[in-house]
Amino acid sequence: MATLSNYKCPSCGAPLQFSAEGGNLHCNSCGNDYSVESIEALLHAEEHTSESFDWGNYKASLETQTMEDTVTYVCKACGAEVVTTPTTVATHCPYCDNEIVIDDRLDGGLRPNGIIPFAVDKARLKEIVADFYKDKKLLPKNYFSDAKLEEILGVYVPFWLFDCTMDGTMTFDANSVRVWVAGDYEFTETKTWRLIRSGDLSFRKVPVDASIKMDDALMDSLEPFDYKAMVPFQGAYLAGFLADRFDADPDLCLPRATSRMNRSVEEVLGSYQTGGVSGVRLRNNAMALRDTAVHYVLLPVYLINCKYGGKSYQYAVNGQTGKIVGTLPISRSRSLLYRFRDLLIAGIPAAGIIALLSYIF
Amino acid sequence: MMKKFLSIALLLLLLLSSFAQVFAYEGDYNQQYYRFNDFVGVMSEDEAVELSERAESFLPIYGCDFVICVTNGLEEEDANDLDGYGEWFYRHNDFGYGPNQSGLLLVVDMDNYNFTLLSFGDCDVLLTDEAYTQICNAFIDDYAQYEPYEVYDRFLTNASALMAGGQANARENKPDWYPEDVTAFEDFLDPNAPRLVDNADAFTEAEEAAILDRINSFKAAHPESDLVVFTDKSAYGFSHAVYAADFYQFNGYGVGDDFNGSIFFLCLDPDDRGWWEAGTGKDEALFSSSTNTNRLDDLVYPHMVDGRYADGILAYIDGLDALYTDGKVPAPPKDPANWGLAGVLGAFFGLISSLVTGGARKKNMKTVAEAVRAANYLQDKHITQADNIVISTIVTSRKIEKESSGGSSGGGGSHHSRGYSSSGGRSFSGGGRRF
Repeated sequence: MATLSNYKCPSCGAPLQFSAEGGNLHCNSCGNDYSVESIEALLHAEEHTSESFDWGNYKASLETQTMEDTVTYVCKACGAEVVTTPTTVATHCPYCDNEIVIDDRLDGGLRPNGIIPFAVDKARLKEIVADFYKDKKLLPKNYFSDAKLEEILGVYVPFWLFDCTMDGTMTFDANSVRVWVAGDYEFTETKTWRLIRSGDLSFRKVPVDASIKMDDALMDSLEPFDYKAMVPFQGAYLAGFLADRFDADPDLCLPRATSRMNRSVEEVLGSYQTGGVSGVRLRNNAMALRDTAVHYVLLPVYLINCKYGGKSYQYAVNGQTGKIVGTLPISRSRSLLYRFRDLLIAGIPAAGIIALLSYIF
Repeated sequence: MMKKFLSIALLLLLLLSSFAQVFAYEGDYNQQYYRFNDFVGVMSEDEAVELSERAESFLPIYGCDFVICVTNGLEEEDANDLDGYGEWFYRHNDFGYGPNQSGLLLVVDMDNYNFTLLSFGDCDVLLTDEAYTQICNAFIDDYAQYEPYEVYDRFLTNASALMAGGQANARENKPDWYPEDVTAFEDFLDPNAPRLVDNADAFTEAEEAAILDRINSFKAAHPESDLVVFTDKSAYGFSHAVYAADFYQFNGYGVGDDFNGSIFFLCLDPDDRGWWEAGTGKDEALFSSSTNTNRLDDLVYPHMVDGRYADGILAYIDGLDALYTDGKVPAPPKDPANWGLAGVLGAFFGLISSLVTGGARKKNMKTVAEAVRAANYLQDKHITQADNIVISTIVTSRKIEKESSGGSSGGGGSHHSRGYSSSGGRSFSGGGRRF
């Protein structure tokens, strides 16, 4: 049986929730606030101590683990059986609404190195979403009345943060063109260059989401997160939010981080001391990774699912910075209307100017 | 199979070489090089260009390339003497008019105070010993008393006049008003000669009357100048410029001792359709400006291309009247705005704009994109090697095309010539177009 943590109010026993506004745990029943550290100290006073995630140690034990489709837990508050997915770390009890954190998915090798707590509360979230819709001219007219906000989920999404140094040599091809006139002749000199660049470039905390079910592009678009606000992981931060454990291991995610770093290395080296050449293009990449390290962290994200016209649309809000990204439905009739308007706005003056020019010249 | 391949390759080579010929010879001569080549710097560049343009304007008039080369020594390839150098210079630069590269070349060696006059192609036949001596003597005389620009300008005048006379005498097919021997022709004035001669039957009787009325009113306003309108079905192989000048001179037109006046010649030969206007005597100055002749041509062109020849002539005389009175030709009336074209282009721009803004608006609806860079996470960089090595260098060159002076706004190929000679040796300036 799994180990569960109940973040209950020490005064009245009601469930505690993490408050994004105050950065502490709040009791909705008696109104008391408690610091995360004090609640964690109370909770773990008689329990085991946790160790931070270590991929090297964890990797060896992975082979012996199995993932089943569903896992059952017993709620400590009401005794009901709660069914979750194998990667769920924090959830609610559907019977008593008690906040549940499944400790054994955060212990030992699975305990995150850090967490960025939510800083955007629900009130601010509503403003952000309203602003997001504001300048979207192609939104269907009845979108606000017809769209059904199915759910707004505050989720701690598991991320890998990769540290590494890229070391080696890149070679580039490039051209330079010089034109000069001597007498009645114009001369053009075209030089082909080989640019050789060696060096080492260190990257710190390149994020890659560690959840297979999360849309990679959606998570990428939420960047950047401010890592200065990252704190050591405490289970209490999860109270009131959902959280998932990683199901994409670092070996699976590393190629995405490497690809991004390679591209940036190419841009940095390809533009270094080029001396006026143009058309710089990569010829050979002999960069190697060294000093690699990976950190397992949870980052705050609001996921908003919306249904319109039989289709699902998902947006995401960076729970720290409030940046919102996503895909909105497009009204075909509005799109046509705007295209026609643009055609008239640009076409009529252009026709007038052309007619005037044809008259003048 | 190999033979077939070789034949196709040869055919392609032939086609390519003929294309190259077409591009090198725009018209009947190579337009790539200046006709006046001053390797010593005896005059300013502007003067050299002006002389070069004048010489080039003679090419279609006389079918003869007048080339001048001022050098200082014979440092060039395979030339032991001035004639050898001249031969090499002319052939090497591909000078000459038509397939047998007709032309005259004057080479002046400034180091040794020596010169030579060479003839090529048809000009070799036309340049008689007498004409050769005349040109050379005139050049020596001029050299002693004029500045370099005037020396070479006068050389062009003399040489072109003698070539024109030689060409006229050598021609077998001539109109009935043409003198038997142009060198023996004596100038005369005939105040009663008709000022409108419509040999091409271009006008109705009413149109003829209207044109004559307009000529008379012009002459009344400008009694010091003559005005002749002449049409013909053919120019008998002469250039329009020479044919118009010859008609004016050999029929006794003009006012006063300088034969002041101008002629408008319309040629309706289906293979050689066009017109030429030219002035002589005191009136020549008005026609020596390409701006004036181009503007006159712009007035005439829209009528001529529509076959309204009489309207073209009347528009010409109106323009000429203004030129004589105000010193400038009025701008041609504006065409009405082209709303059809404007509509199509406007719709095109509108469509492009709509696609661009529509695309941006659609992009605004989707703010999700996979990250491809990690520049925000770059903490430190040490670049230990930055070598830029040249792998290859290719240098290509191209001849800069010369800009033609005196542009025209109307259609048709415009041509202008200052100070050319009639076959009888009289100086004219003028311009014209084909349509």
